[in-house]
Amino acid sequence: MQNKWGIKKIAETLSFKLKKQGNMYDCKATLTRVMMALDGELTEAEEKAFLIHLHQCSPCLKKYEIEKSFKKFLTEKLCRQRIPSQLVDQIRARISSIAGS
Amino acid sequence: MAEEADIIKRTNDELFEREFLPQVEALYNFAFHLTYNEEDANDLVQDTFLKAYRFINSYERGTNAKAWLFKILKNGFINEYRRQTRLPKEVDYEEFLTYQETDDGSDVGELDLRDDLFKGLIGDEVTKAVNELPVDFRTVLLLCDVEGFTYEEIAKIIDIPIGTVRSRLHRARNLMKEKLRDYAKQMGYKENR
Repeated sequence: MQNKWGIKKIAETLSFKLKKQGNMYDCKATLTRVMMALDGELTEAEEKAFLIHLHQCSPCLKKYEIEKSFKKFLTEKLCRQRIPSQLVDQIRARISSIAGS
Repeated sequence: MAEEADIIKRTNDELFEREFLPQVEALYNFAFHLTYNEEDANDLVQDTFLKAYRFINSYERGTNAKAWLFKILKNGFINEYRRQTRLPKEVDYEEFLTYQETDDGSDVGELDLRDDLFKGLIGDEVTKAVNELPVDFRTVLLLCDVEGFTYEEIAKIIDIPIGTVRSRLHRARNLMKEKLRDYAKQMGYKENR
């Protein structure tokens, strides 16, 4: 399956360097960071270690993909409500009434 | 003096138009999901902009206008709307949440949307599910997954520690999975594909 984020490619590039540094995650360390990874809350170093583990561990990759599609699903389905047509005009009118007085 | 006041007013008006008003859709969406009512959402958004204009001098230029406005809206909701809704007192989840700070992904299992069961789930059911979440969980979910605020911004908007943002989000998503799984089963989407 094609990965849009190019995880494999990034992981391959960084794998050697991080292995040397001993900066690796096991499954537990990876799975506790899935949510933060998807929310863009990992540091650069954490993200690298995270992606490397995903590249090497298909069960973790699968869990990650499932969570990723769930987040995407929520974002898409909770899309913006249409704003009432007069809302902006009402705001401007109320502002000018307090600003002008 | 009058001239100076004019200049200040004009600068403030420009700031309002350029930085604040473009957030109206995001604010209305947030207000709608908080109040679950178009009229209340409309009032809440108007009040938010009025407060923003009134206190425009306390806005630090160049900082995150969207987060500032969301904070005003959220405070307005807490102060004026939440107490009118006559909901039973919010349970204090904080205590039992602190021990599950981390997401081990194992507590409610996964919701695999590739499963046929979920093919028919539509926006209405998701909106319904999110509106059934306790307001504290609903808030973090909307701020993170719809508006894309960082944990740090969310922490500032609702005045809670970052660790609490994380644990509430974790819990909110798990609650959503449970609800959506229940809906999908109830509605028998498996049979209707």
